[in-house]
Amino acid sequence: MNKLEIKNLHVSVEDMVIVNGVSLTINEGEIHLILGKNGSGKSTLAQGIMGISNYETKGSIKLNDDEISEIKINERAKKGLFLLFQNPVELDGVKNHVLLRQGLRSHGKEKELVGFKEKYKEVLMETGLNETFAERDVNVNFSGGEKKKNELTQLLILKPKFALIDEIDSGLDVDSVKNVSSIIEKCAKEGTGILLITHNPSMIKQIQFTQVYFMENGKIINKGKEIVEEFEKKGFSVLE
Amino acid sequence: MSFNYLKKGIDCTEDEIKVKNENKEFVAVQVKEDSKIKIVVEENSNLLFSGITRFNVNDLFFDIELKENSKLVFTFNFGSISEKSKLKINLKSAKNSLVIINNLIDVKGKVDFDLKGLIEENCESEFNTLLSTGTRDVDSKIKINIEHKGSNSKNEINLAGVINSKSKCDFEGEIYIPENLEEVNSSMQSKFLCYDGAEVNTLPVLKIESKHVKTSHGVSVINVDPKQVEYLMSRGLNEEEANEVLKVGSLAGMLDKMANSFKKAGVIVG
Repeated sequence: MNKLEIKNLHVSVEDMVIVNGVSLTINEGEIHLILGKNGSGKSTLAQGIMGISNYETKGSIKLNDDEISEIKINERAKKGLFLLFQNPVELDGVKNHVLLRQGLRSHGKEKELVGFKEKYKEVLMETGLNETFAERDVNVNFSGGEKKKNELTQLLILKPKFALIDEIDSGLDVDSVKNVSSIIEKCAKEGTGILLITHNPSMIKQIQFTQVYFMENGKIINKGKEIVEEFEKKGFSVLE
Repeated sequence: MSFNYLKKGIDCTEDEIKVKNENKEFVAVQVKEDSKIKIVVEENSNLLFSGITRFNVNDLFFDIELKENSKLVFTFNFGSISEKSKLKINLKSAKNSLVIINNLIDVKGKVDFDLKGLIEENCESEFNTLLSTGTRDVDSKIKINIEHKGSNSKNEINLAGVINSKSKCDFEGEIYIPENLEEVNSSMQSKFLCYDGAEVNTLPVLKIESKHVKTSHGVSVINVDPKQVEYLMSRGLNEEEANEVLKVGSLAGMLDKMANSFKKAGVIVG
C-alpha cells in the first residue's frame, strides 16, 4: 500500500518559518483535508512537500519509505507526487496535449500514449472543459476556473500516487464544485491519496474525509473528522 | 555544380535554377560548397524550393528573381559548423507575384544573414526566419531590408529566435515605403526567448514616406521564466526536457507559419 509520511516538517521562505513542525500520514486512497485561515501555512505546506524552490524544508518526507525531502521536484513527481497549483503559470506556445504527452514519457508511461487522444478528450469532458483545450497553450487566457480544471485534467491523466490539491474550488461555480468533488472521490477510490486544501463549505460537505486538520500559524492545532461539522456551523471561530 | 539535386524536374545550368512557363515545380537541393546560386521563376510559373547546406558551406548567396504572376516558396535550412558563415539573399519580385522565404539558421560561431527584397506592385511577400543557437556559442547578425516598389503590395517580416546564455543576436530590420505608393501593408515582428546571459539587440526601422500605408512592428524579448521550468518539472520533466519544451513552444508559432507557407501560396505540385 502506498504511504506518504510527513514528520516534523518545517518550511521556510527567506529565513521566515511558515510551517512549524507538521506531521501527518496519508495512505493510498485516503482523502485528508486541511482547513485554516489565510496565511496559516496550508499552501506553503503543500509546496514544501512538492519541493518548490524558494522553500527550504527541514524534517522528513517519505513516500513509501523513500526519503524524498532532498530530491528534485521532477524526481518527486516521478515517484508519484502531484501538486495542483493554486495559481498555475501560463506556458506560451506549449500546448496542453504536448505537456501531457511529455509528462507521460517522463514518467515512463509511454504505453499510455496509445489511444491518448481519445482518453484525453474524455478527461477534458469529464472536468467540464471543451476538447479544443487540448490544442490551447497551457493556461494562456484561461479563466481562473478553467486553470483549475486544467490542473485537474493533468491529475487525471498522470494518475499520481498522491495529489496535493490547493484550493481547487476558487473560480468554480456551484455545479463545477460538485463535479470536481466527485472527481476527487473517484481518484481516491482508484487509489490516489489526496491532501485537499479548501475553505469551501459546499466542497467539504460533498466529500468523505479520512482525516481533517486545522492549521494555524504553521502548526496543526486540531484534528478529527468531527471538526468538519463544527466548522460548517461556526467557521474559524470554532478554533477560539 | 555547387549543389546536388535531391529531386529534379526542371532544366538548369550550373548554379542556376530556372522555372519556365506554366510549370509547377518542386526542387530540393543540398548545397555542397560555397556558391552563388541564381533562381529565376518565369512568368506564370510556380516553384517550391527546398534547400539544405552541408556542414562545410560558409558563404552562400541566393540571387532570386520572379517574373510577373509567378509564385515562389523558398525554404532553406542553413546549417554550418564553421566558425564564420554568411548567408545572403537578394530578391527581386515582380507585379502580381507571391514570394515566401523561410530560413532556419542553425549554426555555430559568427553568422551573418543578409536579406534584401524589392516588393513590386500587387506583390505579396513573407519572410520568416528562425534562429536556434542550441547549446553552441553563436554571434549572429541578421539584417533584413525590404523596399516596396509598387502600390497594393503586402509584406511581412517575422523573426523568432532562441538565444542561449553564451550567444548573441543583433537584428536590424528596415521597411522602406516611398512617397508615391498607395495601399501598402507592411509589418515586422521579432520574438526572442533568452536564457540568462543571452544578448539581443534589435533595431527595427520603418521609413515611411507615403501617407496611404498600414505598417506595424513589434519586438518581444522574453527571458526564460524559472517558474515555468519548475511547473514543467513538477509534471515529471527534468530540467533539460522542460527547457526544450519551452524552446519548441516559443518557436511553434513560427514553425506553424512556415508549414502553412505552401497552403498560403496555393503551390500545388502535381
